[in-house]
Amino acid sequence: MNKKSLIIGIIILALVISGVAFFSSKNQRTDELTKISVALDWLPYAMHSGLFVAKERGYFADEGLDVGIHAPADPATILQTVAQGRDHFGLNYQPDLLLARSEGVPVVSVAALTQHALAALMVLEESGIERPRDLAGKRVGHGGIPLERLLYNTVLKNDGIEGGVGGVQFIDVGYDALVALLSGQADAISSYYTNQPVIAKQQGYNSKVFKVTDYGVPDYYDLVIVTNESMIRDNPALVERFLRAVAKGYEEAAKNPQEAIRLMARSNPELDIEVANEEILLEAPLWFADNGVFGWQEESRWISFTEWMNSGGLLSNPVDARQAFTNSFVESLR
Amino acid sequence: MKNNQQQFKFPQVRTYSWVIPVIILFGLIALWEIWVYFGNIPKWQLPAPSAIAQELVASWELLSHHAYITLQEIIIGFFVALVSGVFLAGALVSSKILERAILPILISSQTIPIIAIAPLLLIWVGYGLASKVIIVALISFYPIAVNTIDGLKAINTDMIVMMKSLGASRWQIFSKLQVPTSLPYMFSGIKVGISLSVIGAVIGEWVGSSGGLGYLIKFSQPLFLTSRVFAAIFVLSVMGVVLFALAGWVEHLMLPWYYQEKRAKSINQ
Amino acid sequence: MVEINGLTKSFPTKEGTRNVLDNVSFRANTGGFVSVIGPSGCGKSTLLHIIAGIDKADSGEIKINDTTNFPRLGHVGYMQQKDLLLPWRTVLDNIILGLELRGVARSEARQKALEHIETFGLKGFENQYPFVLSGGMRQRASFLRSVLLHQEVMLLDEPFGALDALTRHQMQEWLVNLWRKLGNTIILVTHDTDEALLLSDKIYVLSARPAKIVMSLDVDLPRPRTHATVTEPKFAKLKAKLLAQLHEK
Repeated sequence: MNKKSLIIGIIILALVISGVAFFSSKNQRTDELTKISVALDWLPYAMHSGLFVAKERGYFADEGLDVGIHAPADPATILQTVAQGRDHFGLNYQPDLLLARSEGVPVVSVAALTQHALAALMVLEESGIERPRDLAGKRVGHGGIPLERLLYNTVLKNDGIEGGVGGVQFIDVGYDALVALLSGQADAISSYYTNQPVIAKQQGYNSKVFKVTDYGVPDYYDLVIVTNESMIRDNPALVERFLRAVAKGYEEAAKNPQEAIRLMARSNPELDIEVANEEILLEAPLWFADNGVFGWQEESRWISFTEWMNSGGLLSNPVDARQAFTNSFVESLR
Repeated sequence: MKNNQQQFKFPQVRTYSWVIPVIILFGLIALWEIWVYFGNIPKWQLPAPSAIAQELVASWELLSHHAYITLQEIIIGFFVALVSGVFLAGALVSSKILERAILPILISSQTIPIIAIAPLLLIWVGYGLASKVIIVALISFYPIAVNTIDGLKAINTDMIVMMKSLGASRWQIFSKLQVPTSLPYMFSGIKVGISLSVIGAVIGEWVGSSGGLGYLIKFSQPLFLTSRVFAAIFVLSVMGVVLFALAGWVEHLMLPWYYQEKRAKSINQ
Repeated sequence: MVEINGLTKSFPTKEGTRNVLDNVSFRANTGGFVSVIGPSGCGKSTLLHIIAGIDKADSGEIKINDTTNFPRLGHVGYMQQKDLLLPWRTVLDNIILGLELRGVARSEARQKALEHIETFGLKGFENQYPFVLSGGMRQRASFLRSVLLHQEVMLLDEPFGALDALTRHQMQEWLVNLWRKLGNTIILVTHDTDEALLLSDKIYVLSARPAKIVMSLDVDLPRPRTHATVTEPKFAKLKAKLLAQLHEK
């Protein structure tokens, strides 16, 4: 009997401990600050450094914001959660935003995080492939996103492969395309030129990239900061405060990139510091427009890219590009 | 003379029983190390055991930080599974109506792949601890429930007659006969359930989280930090083994007669 | 005094109704030892179940101490062939099971049980689990369980059937001695004619299904009876009578 009461005691103790842990983890908040949820486009990488700088340096707190940054496993859900208001802000891709808007999802880009497209075809240097047309008949790996098909169709056609992706073996290699390239399962992969080549180099592989914008794809804002229409309408002050802190964070990250990575690693100890330090040097120049403003978006670019997507048959309903973005917030930060 | 002969028995079974698996394990590890070295396998494809061991030491803080998160999910989720599984089993066994109503739902709930449900759960419940706990509970409550039901039903009619003849009420028959009879079965279910809890936690983190060993694996893979991935997997399996052993230890504590009997029988063989 | 009057019982089965007991009547005097013998499958267990209150007869009555309202369930001792000790309880805790079910505090019950441990030959095994006990010891523990409940009427369903011959003889002797000390009314079901003749005052023979009492035999052998009694001529005569009846039909 004593043994039984001991065991019951242990079980109750364990329950109590886990209960305390569970509930205490929920109570770490300050009451005066407004709680905000930000969804990252992917697991944390160097591109997000400005956000973490803003958090660690207290810029968000200065604006009265308590920002929770999280990375959803499936980027496809971000626009939904932002539209629903579960996430106040999200990082996402301009093409995806347009697709969402064509389905009536009320999301709007309030700042561009990257001024240029990052997509590129990546090949290993040792493969001897000099340009996209050398990929005729070879295996090109992608991650299963419809946009990739259109992007690389344009690239390959413009470089002389008549069938576009039809002239190559366009294979779905899943979300981690780099493994396919390094293990020889693909001759070229769809990539971000700021990301995979750096990782490959770390593993001892030199690579070449063919940026999509060099081969006839109109330039677009790869990563944008989005929010939903009701936020803009009902709580513009909040958007402004958020972006002010974000801009400050990115300004500082651009000035002191290694320090920014160090700050980011505080809440993300999983980061590979070496890779991140190299990545950030490639990404920082992309954060500011020619006019020096963080997040500035050119209307012409929105319009021409929307047209390109439309002519590629990707938008099921017509989209007014002008409604899809706004500069009003970043303007006030000038 | 006779005494000497008796003492000369080799302690055969007990030493051999753990020496051989350990030797085999070390042999496999050595083979692995040699293969990676001589096969010139790139470290991002398959790291050598020595590299993994190094990583374990180097990233100890990181690994334990994430291990703690995963452990919380497992333990809380498992307890939810335990309570709900046992409770459900009791309810099902106590009433034929309930059994007919709930049993089909119980069984079909397991055919829905967790991987499909998990993302939906995340959208409804959020990315915090709660969603992981639910996923762990969903995966591990089934073996607990099913085994406990079997245990509660494994009644020896003669025993029931005996209890009745002593004047036992229905409740007494349940608490003093059925429940103790069901304990060995329940523990079988618990041991399966606790192993599944580890898998459940990883799946939950995989689908959406900001911490835990599953998250760490997912984060490190695209970065080709394969040693770290293997180190995390190693920690996960150690966790699973320890939890399983813990369950077995509790079982030994609660069912001393069961194990004494088994040991007595095996010695006599 | 136990009076069984006209018990009839049948069970519905897939093939129709199975008549198990057909107007069974017999008696056991207070403090007496009665045996019921019959072929296997004749319904002896059903009979005992009904007397113990676990089952109900279709018709007939059972009077204990001159009343039909005697609360039989839980107050009539019932010992089965299998000792049915709960494996997860120590020997001592098994013995006090009956008392426990009645709400007696464990410590008090244990003390009561310990007083009898030695007479029942279980000393030293109180805190062991039942699996270490021999067959004979288990039956004795099972007995003690019932004795502690002061169940005056005891039904024994072939309690020694699973024991080897030597142990069986020892247990038979032990049972008779216990009975003489405690003075219970015992109804023993057995298929062993020697056992019935050695232990009982009266033997009733049941026919095959549907069971009826086809013979009642007074065993007027003097007590105490030992295994030497088996060789006496009177014994042989009674046994012959019994066997003749049993082998009829």
